[in-house]
Amino acid sequence: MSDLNKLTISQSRQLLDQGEISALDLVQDCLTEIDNRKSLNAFLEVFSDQVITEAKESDKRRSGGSLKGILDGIPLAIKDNILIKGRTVSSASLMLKNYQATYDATVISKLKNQGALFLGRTNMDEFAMGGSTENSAFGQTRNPHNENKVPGGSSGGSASAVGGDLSLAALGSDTGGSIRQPASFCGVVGLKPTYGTVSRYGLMAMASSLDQIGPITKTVEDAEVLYQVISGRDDFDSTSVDPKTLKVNDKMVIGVPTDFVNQGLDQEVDSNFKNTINQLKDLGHKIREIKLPNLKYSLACYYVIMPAEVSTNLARFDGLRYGNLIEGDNLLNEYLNTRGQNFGPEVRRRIILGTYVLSSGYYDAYYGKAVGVRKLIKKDYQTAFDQVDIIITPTAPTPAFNLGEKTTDPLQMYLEDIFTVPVNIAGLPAISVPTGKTKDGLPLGIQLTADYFGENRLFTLGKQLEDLDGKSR
Amino acid sequence: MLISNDMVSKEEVEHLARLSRLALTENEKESLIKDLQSILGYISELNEVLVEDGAVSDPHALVDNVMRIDDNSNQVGGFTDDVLVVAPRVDENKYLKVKAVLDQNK
Repeated sequence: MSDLNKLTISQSRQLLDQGEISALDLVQDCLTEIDNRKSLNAFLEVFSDQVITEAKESDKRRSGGSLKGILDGIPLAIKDNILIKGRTVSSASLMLKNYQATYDATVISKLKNQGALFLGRTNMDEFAMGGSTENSAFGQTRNPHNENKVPGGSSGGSASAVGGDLSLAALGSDTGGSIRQPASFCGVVGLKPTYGTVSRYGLMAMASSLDQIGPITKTVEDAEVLYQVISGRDDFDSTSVDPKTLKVNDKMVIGVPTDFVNQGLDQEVDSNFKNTINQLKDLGHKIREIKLPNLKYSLACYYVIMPAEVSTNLARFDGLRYGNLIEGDNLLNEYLNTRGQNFGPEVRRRIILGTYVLSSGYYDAYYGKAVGVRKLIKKDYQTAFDQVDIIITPTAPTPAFNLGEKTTDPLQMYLEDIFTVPVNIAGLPAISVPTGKTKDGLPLGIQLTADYFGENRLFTLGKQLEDLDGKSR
Repeated sequence: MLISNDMVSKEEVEHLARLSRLALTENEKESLIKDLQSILGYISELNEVLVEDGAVSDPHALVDNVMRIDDNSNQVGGFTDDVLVVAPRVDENKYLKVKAVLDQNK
């Protein structure tokens, strides 16, 4: 068999179990494709030698009948802000260009326990700040469907790797859309789980009240498999909780927040969205118009809370204990140099903005107000979920845009997250599922949002969307 | 208090950069003034929303405290060598070396 890199996790598991293919074959096909598509710059580092050794070990386990778990021999790509012991992990920043992880993130331990293999670490916006992967200190990543377009961000390397069939699946992190938006741009599935259901131990913190790790996969089924492996309460992350499930109705009530969605939508995104709703109606689901009056303030709320937390979380990078120290003639200058020269423009912009909104005299007006609005947004969702099982929106207001198109205007870049941000503000689970393409062949995505712990609803409806799209493999 | 739409001054940006320990070039200061004004302008949408006082005065209302047993979960020194591998300046006794915290020349 050839082109094994194009397989899904589920297909590979089946073929491995039947003895049709080996883990080594799988890994080698992925490594070949990574090499073929170097121009994507999806990977910052490929663990070529080690992953081949590990694949051979997996094949030995299989022939000896002593498999580690359900992912034995499955190669994955990992975003560069998740720690793998002994490996460089840089968050695509000069600050950490030589930093080595001293322990495994909990999600990595869980994947290792199931026998998963790691192909390498994927490119991202520096410290996960951005929507296009153009903020990486190590060069931009390109969209596998059109290399003049961005892959989205901040998990752009992971999405590009999966969308380009360089890897079977990947992990990303999502603070305001950083899994779902690149998944939408690259034609793959991206899940942002309920806040707390996946441990963040070993994830570099960006905005701790919003950050969540999640899978980027080729199918909803694969996202479900990875979610089941990586979720669960962890003593090393006090915000973590065990996942639960909600009742799944055969025919669901799907809420459409028309007022909220009708702002600045690309025409093709709009018609794809309406078309999808009609298809779901044809399947027998009930479509209900809903109002989420405070959601329009989500992005403003986010651009107070997120930078406030960024400025706090990134205060740890002082160059004294770790990181790329740039010496100065006194302690203050060492701080100024190290932070001024190692952080890129977007990171510095957000630290300054965060420092501003937390300053004495502004704190109540900005941070206090944003926290109040956050409560209203949560309340809007709670009211809606009393009436509907799922809320549907496009994942992003546009398809993938041109490289360089939005780098000069931060606000334009931020507006790409308009539909994904509210979900993080409320801590809800949401999934982006590929549905249709533009006339130029760029993928489009639909976002499904459920109430807390409603991942099983997302998987059920997500699979139906996939079937409609004929993408189910 | 309402969010202000006042202009951001260069002095303010310099002050913020000092507080957040970031060295900025003159060009960057100018572009930051522009960016901050545009972002703060956008954020000022929040002025339209009426929020209960309680929400404003208690920003921690969203946080639940989670306790764990009060013991030392790691062995003392268990990670020292691993951690020092990535430290920029270490002396022979495994201490981090930093510039004088209190500068006597100032």
